[in-house]
Amino acid sequence: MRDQWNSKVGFLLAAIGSAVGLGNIWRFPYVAATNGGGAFLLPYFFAIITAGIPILILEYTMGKTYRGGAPVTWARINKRFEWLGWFQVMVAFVIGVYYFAIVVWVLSYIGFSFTQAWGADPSAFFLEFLGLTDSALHLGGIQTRLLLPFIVVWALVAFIMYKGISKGIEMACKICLPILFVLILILVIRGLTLPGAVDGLEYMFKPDWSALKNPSVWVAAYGQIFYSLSIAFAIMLAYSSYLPKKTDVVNSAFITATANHGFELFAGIGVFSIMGYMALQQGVDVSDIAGSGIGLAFMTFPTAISSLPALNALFGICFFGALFTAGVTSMISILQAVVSGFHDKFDMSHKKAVTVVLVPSFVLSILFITGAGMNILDIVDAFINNVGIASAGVIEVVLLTRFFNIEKLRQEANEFSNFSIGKWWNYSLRIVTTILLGVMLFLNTKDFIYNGYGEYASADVNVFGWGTILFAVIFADAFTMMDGKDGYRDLHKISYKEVN
Amino acid sequence: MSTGAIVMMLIGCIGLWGGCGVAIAIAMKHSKKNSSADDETEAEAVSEEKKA
Repeated sequence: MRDQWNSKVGFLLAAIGSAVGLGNIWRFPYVAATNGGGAFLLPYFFAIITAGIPILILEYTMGKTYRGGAPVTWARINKRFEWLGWFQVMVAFVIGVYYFAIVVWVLSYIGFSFTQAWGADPSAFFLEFLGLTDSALHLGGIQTRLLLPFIVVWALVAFIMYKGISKGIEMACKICLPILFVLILILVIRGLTLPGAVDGLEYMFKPDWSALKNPSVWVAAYGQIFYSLSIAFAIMLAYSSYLPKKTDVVNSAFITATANHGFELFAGIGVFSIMGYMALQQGVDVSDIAGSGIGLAFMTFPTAISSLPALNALFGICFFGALFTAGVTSMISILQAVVSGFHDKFDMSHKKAVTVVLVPSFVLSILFITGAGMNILDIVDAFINNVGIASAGVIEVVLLTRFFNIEKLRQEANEFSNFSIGKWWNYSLRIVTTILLGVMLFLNTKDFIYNGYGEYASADVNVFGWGTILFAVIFADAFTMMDGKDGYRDLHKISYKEVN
Repeated sequence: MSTGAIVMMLIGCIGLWGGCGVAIAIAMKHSKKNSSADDETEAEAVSEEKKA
């Protein structure tokens, strides 16, 4: 008997927990501020309505209708589409492997926050903490100081994964999401009550309407929505496949999207209030301090935490605690997408599928706690997102809107939904989403081909950038060609009891 | 903070948090309606059983 969510609330908390990740906290605020500020909200809302919510409705409908991990769901739609399911699963696998390392660093920094162990130069401290080497191919050995948090994170994730959907993931998200919200609430209140906060908010929200003439701002908006919602890489398909058939997917998609993007706006208010305070402290402009990603989290923010007037340890724990809970709820969803892929195609129990996924993940993730860990992670992350997820998304909407009867899915979506979605949904996916994701994929790929990535040597980029994409493609092929359990492609082979 | 920045911040917060609140309220309202509908069908089933 296939597992199911205990309740719709449990599913929504898990889906929101999956969508709300590190990018919500350390990527969105900077993307918004540097792409027109308040004006960015226009393309941002437009992208939520024309891509975010439509793709969520699409994936929730596919999952609850065809009731399998991505490969099985795609295979049940059309035998020849199974490869895309495995490609999405392999993309999720790659992301799951390096995501570990970030959560390990975050856990370590919760510890450092007690004494602000980073001292006067958090940047130098972070590079020394990683034992960073000069290139991705120069591994520099395993950083032993990372081993303890590495084992702790692995043990926690394995414990949750082995417990399954209803007793493991749902329970973990019911605990983590309220904690995450409280931690961010404390940071936002602290941020807003600091001198200089308004300068930070001015920098983030002051509208520069001329920026909307620039196409890259619209691509950035679509990119932010697309990467922030955990869509197109098997997660939402897997999660919704454990829903009862009589689920209101339209409402669920709306709640997931507004909660996810509402959270990142909320976090952005906290982040830029504190950036405003830092700028005031250092007598510089907010733009000189503003940053994103790993640099913001492990270099800029520790500086801000040390310069707070009081309770520095508390706010450090709040910040890195928020990153930790956001990271764990995302990571278990990523791994569950992979587990569902194996569990539903091959004849194996849930526990065996978890083992089959966790063992290679564990071995490969050791690569990311070596001295070259962050270099490798930076390249892999750039390629698997900008080429892997983007191409999976384009192929997904093209296959469904041009080689399948999308109208059938719209009726499936509306069957148990209180608000029906009109035909605009078909055209939105077929035209708007396809064009914008296609443009995004084209620009990203062209840039990597002509300019490589960052300051890295082409050997590093070829091995860990293009090599990662090739890895995903080859393994997707291999798993597609392998024989699954009898009748896995036949939707009506599922027992009636499983569906309701 | 400039008026433009304040207005855009409010639009963002109201748009997203308001949208989320409305969607949750709708979900809760309809889940109550569905569960009371289920209770009714259950009660009917029981009464028919008694008649039979």
